[in-house]
Amino acid sequence: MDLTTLSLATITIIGTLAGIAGYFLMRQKFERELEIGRTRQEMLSQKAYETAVLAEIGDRIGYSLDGAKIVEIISGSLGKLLPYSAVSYIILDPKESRIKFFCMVSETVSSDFVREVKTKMLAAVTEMNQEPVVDSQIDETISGAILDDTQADTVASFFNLPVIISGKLAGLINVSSKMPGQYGEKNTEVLYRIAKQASEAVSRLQDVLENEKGRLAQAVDSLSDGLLMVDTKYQLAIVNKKLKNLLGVGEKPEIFDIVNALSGQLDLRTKMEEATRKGEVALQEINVKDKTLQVFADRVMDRDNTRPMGVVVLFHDITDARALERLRSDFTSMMVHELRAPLTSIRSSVEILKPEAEKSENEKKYLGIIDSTSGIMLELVNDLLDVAKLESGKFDIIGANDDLGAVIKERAESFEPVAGAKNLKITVNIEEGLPQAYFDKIRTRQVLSNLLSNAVKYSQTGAITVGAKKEAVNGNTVDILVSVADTGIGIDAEDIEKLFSRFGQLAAGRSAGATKSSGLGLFIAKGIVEGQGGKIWVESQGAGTGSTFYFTVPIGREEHKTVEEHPIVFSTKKVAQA
Amino acid sequence: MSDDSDYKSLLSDLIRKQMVMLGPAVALSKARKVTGLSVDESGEVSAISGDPQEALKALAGEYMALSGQIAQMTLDSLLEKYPGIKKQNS
Repeated sequence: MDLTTLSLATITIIGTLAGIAGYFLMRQKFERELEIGRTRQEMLSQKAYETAVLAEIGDRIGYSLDGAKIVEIISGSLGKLLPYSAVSYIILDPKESRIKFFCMVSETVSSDFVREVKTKMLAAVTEMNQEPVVDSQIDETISGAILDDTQADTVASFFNLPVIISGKLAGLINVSSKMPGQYGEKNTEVLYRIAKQASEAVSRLQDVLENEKGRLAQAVDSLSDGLLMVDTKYQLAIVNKKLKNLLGVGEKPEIFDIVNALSGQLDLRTKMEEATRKGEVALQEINVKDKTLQVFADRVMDRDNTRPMGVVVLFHDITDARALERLRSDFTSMMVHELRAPLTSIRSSVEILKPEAEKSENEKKYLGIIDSTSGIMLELVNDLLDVAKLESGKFDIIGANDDLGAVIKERAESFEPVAGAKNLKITVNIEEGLPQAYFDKIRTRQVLSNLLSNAVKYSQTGAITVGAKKEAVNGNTVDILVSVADTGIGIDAEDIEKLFSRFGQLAAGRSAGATKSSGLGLFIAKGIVEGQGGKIWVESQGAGTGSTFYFTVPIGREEHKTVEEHPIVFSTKKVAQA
Repeated sequence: MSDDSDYKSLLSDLIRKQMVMLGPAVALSKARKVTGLSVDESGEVSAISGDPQEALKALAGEYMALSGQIAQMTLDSLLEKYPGIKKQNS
């Protein structure tokens, strides 16, 4: 063989070897790239799985902070992600002190296999909680493939996935297989990541909720009224410090402690049931441990106002207010009675002394002063008594069917002398055929006297007109409208509101009135008119234009009797202290 | 100063508890990720090369990534048995 042939052969051999080497290098490169591609694909599919499961958790949990749902969703989502014979989960229910064990068998295993899974899970729970689990606390559910006890498989590989909310174990997921070596870091990492992210999100929400609950609890605790709230099962959700002190129950009372503390005074359960059904329940006053409490209950609705979520009961301490009321009432009664007697005595004495012809002009003058002044004081004392009765709801009104027109005429006539002294003419206009009205004669006289007295007092010239006519609605007479119109000082619009309040005498009135008055007359008139079922009001165009006072009196009906037969007595409601 | 045997004992206890809580495969794979730690199939730490305190911190970190505060509580209760190590870690 010559040199050329040898060179050619060598070159060919080298070239072939290079080609083979190149092939193997290229193949290695392709295999590496294939591997990278496979890994990338696996990572992408794991990422897609992770995103899908987290999205499902987010949708289904919402803001319910339910760790059990996270456990259920992750368990149910495993699908084709991992090979397994059974996936199980344990949910811990602290409220009911129960443990729920669910096992979903995906391929036939024996009962011993399931038992072994349960044992391993309970051992994990015991280790995590550092507290043994009692078998009687466990509720068990097994589903999926049929169990076959002829099979002798054991749990050859498994892993546990804890779900931890705010530092506490909420649940545990177990994935088990008959085959060994199924689970390693690579194929379980995504699940741990999902569980961690979901748990952290729920834990953060729970922390926010706990903070808000803490702030609410502080606000509720600082209330000056006692308050409790129950849920729809009437279990105590909130009870504040004030109520615990009022009822003398311990620091952490149960609902029964509160019911017992109120027993004999308030049927709390019935009140709460009523509030759940109807909403607001009327105020009730009770006495507990020397305290007088007003109790108010109402239901708490959900955000959409469609479903009751519980009931709140408020206990308002009115012990001091009641004591003050009693004190004031007793004082007023005492003062009135103490003052009345001597005043009456003064007037009687004056009446006896007056007629003596031998008295000097001065003596007659001073007797007159004593008489009129004691008269005014007696009037004031009677007004004070009437106001006290109105405010305590003890102002009795004796209603009966009677002739209102006659009462009006009689009162108008009685004021003619005093009106005449000021050149004021009193005119009475009673509608023809005025029907009987239902009213307290004595008290209505009092109202008319007050209105006529004011009309005379605050008019310097002109006339006073008293009228009465029927008022009809849809053709039916419903009441009688009485009016007292004068040509006096008039009332500005902004002052009208004050008129019917206690001591509501206007500045203009005080300077115009020749004689002082208590300022209680219209307040009492309002109490009487409203107590009879009517309304009272005033109209005026302003200062200097006169005023017209109106009040209504109900029509006498068949069911009302005349005063001779059977008068109905009713008391005024407590009047708000203006 | 605690000796290495205490650390080995503590680390072994920690791994074995995690094997119960998380499953043997996951617990062991996490333990074997810690540099300088030699762990057999039963969870026993046969050797620690390097700083044992660093190894403990790294191992605890691996398990806390999986089971959060529960892993911390497990470690805390184990440290009660090893007061010398507990002092160094506080």
